[in-house]
Amino acid sequence: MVHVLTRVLGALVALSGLALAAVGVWFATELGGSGTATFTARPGTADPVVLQPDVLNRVDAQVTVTATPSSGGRIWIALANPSDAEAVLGDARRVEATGVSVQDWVLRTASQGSGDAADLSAAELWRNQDDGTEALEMTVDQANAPETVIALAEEGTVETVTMTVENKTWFVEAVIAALVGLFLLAVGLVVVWPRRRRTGADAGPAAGVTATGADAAGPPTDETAELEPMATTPAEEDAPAEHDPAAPGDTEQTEPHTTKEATP
Amino acid sequence: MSRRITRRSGAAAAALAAVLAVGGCGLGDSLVGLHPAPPEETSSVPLDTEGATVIAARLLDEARASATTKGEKGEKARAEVLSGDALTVANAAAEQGAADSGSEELAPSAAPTVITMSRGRGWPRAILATTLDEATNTQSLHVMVSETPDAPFTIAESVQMLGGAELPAIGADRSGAPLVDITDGDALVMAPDEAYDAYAAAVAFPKPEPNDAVSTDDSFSQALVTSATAQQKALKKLATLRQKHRPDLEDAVAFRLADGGVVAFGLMRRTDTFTPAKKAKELTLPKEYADLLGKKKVTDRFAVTSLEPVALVVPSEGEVRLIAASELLVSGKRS
Repeated sequence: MVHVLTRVLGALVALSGLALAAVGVWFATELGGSGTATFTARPGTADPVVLQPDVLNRVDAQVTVTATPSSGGRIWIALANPSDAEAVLGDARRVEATGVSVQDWVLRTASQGSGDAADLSAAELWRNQDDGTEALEMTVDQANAPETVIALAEEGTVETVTMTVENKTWFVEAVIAALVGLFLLAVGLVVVWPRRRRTGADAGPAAGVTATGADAAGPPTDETAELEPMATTPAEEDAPAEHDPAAPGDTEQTEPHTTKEATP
Repeated sequence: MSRRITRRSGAAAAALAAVLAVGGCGLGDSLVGLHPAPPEETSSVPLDTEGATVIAARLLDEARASATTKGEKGEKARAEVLSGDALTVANAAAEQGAADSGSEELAPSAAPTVITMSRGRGWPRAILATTLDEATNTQSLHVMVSETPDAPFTIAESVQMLGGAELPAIGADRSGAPLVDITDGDALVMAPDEAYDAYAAAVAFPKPEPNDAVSTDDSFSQALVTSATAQQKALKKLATLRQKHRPDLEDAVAFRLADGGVVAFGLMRRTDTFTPAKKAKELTLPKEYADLLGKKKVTDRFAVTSLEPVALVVPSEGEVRLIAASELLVSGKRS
């Protein structure tokens, strides 16, 4: 029963290690050496797109939000205190970022509210703002957290909103995860399939072999070896631990034995 | 043998437990540095100093640009950057052609310095800034106000500081200064609106009503008394002058000072009433009065009105005192 349990646990460890190694390698590949995670949403909306602190301010690294207008459009992007952003938006219709998905590197969004937003660019509560016809970036410094970013199409729509976080530690952690996974995989495999006793001239004495010889205690007899039935299975043996060549009373083997030969 | 099996099982179980622990129960979040967003501190100033300075500079530039434009076009342009008492004074100055002299507070082109902002994240919000006209070494105080979240700031008060006057310490950079209702006299020698009434009464002519809690030892009130006395002396007994100040505090703004006092910005309207004596045949008016009244000589009683934006410091103990004031003659009326 214990033996079966050990093998099951070993298999689980091996599978977990395999999964961890795969995830680590995948993350390391996706993040690159700089540890850059990029999440993209494609709202395609004329309504404000809002990124709240629970998306922007959950890491210690700098976050860059990039908003791109539709072709021929014009975009405005701003940074504000969360309560200010809420106050000026009111219950207006907006697309709000709700989180990220690392599986497909997507910035998840959901539509909320009703009615048109006020003239956001006229308000003077922004910590920083910019507008233009090309993609615009807004940097979120965590020293000023919490903050909210709002992107709004003054003409056309907000085509894409990208949130980029650069954290080199993530790459290192991904590599470490891959290495730990490989280690666990190896441990699991060893547990599931333990090392089998080696065969050949340099193999140690098989269990159950009793050797006699000139140096052996007791009266000398002919130099022969006497085989006894094995009491244990090979998997449960640990030949090097069983045999101590330096132990008194040991004598040379007269014949090489393999487990297979020794086992009835 | 069974001990070895147990040891191996234990190692496998421990490894499995470690794997599960790494992946479960939010430990992964900690490993990658994810944490809840910090809470917002809502008791500090709403803008950083740099942002507030940009707003103040823009408003002052735009106010200067529209200061001399008369008519509806000028009023519309000024209404976009001015409000309250500052708009009242600026419109009157533009119509009187006195924009250059009457709105000197807006004339300096020096970059503004933000003194403080209103504390907290509510509305209305205010920025208190100052400018220095290096040519005249005159410092002006400006209060910019945003009434609602989607309303831009406008200059609500603009007034020149008196020579030698000091604005007491007011909210540090990040903490700001709370806005105070001008009718709230809690922990003050009197409510700010009462202080305006008391000061107005104390500088009335010819019968001032001194108040122990109000100081009139300032250059503005002294100039008022001096000029009124000289005017009365010039009229001899052919006419009498009565000077009355009426606070108009509908758009007043007040900030809490660091020592618990208040600095209040408001407007007073001064009416100078001239009543000819029966023996007077006529009174010859100076040009500025004649322009307002449309006549160079009058035989009946007439009054001229001036706008007086002033800033009062209302302490928690001691005397109310004036630190900033200016005046602009805006209208005249015959009765």
